[in-house]
Amino acid sequence: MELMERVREVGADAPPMSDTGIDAARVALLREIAREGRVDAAPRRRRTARWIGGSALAGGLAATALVVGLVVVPATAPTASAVVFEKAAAGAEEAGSPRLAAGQYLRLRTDFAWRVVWDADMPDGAHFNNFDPDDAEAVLEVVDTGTTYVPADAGGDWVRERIPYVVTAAHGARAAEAKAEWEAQSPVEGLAGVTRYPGGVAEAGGDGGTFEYYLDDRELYADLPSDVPGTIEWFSRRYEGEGDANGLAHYFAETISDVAVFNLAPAAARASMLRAFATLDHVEVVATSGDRTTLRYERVRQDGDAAPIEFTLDTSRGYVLGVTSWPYGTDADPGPDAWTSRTTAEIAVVDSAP
Amino acid sequence: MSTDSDIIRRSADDPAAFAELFERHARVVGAFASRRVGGEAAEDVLSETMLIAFRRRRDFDTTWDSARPWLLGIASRVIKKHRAEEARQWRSFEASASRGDHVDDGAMDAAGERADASAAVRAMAPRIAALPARDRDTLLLYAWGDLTYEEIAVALGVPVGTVRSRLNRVRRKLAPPGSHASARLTWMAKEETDGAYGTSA
Repeated sequence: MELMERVREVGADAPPMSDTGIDAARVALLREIAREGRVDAAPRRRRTARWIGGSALAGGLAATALVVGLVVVPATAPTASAVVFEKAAAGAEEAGSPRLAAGQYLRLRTDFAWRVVWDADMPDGAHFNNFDPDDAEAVLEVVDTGTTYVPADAGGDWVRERIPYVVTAAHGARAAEAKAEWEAQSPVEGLAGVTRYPGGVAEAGGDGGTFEYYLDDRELYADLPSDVPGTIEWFSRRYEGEGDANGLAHYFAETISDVAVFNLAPAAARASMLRAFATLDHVEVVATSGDRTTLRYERVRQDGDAAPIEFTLDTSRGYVLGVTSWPYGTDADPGPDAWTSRTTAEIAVVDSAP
Repeated sequence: MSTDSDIIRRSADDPAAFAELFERHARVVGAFASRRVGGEAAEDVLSETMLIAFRRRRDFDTTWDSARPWLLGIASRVIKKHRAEEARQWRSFEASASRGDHVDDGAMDAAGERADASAAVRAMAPRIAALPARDRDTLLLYAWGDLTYEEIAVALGVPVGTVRSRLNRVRRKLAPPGSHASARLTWMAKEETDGAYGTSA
């Protein structure tokens, strides 16, 4: 045996590093990357290049979590998207609840837009009950705007203002007719206006079954663990019976799409949820502009049809600033006008509320 | 497919890009570290190596396509902080060879050959352990890291001639005393250190 062969034989049976060891190092690196990203406050030009998280990962790695120090963070995750989620989670923790001077409010505005198709061939009174755009003579874009004002003194009056069902665009040969019919049918009355909620407490239910809850769902999040496995289990209980086959993917789509609720959640809860979502595979980073990163995920049904969803994270504060959904069966690269719903959010500190 | 160099250049403006470098090399660096200092300490070595590489990514010589030599070089320096674990690892290699871990059942002749080989390997472990750290780093980057002389030079930040002279010195030290190989290697090493490569360490 040659000398170098003998050297190569020494320790050749040593076990390779475990996945746990690789995961721990990955987590440390992702945190460092996220930290540098936060420190680097210089605005960056928009990048259009795409890369798929985890594309370089060995296939089949299970989503797990690791304890690093006292914090459990996602590991064995699609790297590029995991970096973004971790950055947003850390941003939520660092930013916490914005400091408000007396009299100020944290304003969270959400514009939920969706497309309504109008089909002249449908029976009277049901022209909008056709979900196939190909049969439609008109498509309306309708926006429902809701704004919540959280007072500096959380025990004070929380204010909600709603401007429902505004037609912002109308397309198609019979757009005017469709718009007129929508405005005639739309049950706006009773929905629009300003409502005050002392202490942020709202009432829901009816027929003797009313109950109270906080607008920021603090009771819901009270038992949300900070660790990733615990958070996923928490989601499982919350969505019990819904989409078990998709597990975290289902919880993710449901949670991230409900922008108004997600952004009102306490910072620690948002951080926990973002870290859980970091373990999702096949999340694609679409674009980054400063502290805003747009990611894309495809929900896939058992029949193989996919429904893309794009969402924009504010990585410095851990908020969701936008979500765009496409219907199932959408091509891999849907056109800009193929979306079915689009939500945008703005979060700011203001000096007054309506 | 992007080269490591492309990724590192990109990561200067887009730190997240560096994560791909981790995915490409973590297992190789981890395996190298694990073999040198054992699994537990290797986790620290891998983590620290990647953090150092990330923080110093702007120092990477982008004329090289692959970052593997650079990463293994960083790992070799980090490993120096784990002397106790490395010593324990060498002792375990010696012990495992003594137990005959390299021998399985088979014909007597074959078993005898394997036993000889095992003995040779067993004898090798403490001698490698006794090498000066710089020589051991050079040897193991070559034998375990599968780096070329040029890549080892990059990894350790020394001239390639130094790598050659170190490896020849190592060969001389590891060859059984009085063996033909030892004599030949001694002669080769003398030739080199006399100036054939113009440098020594």
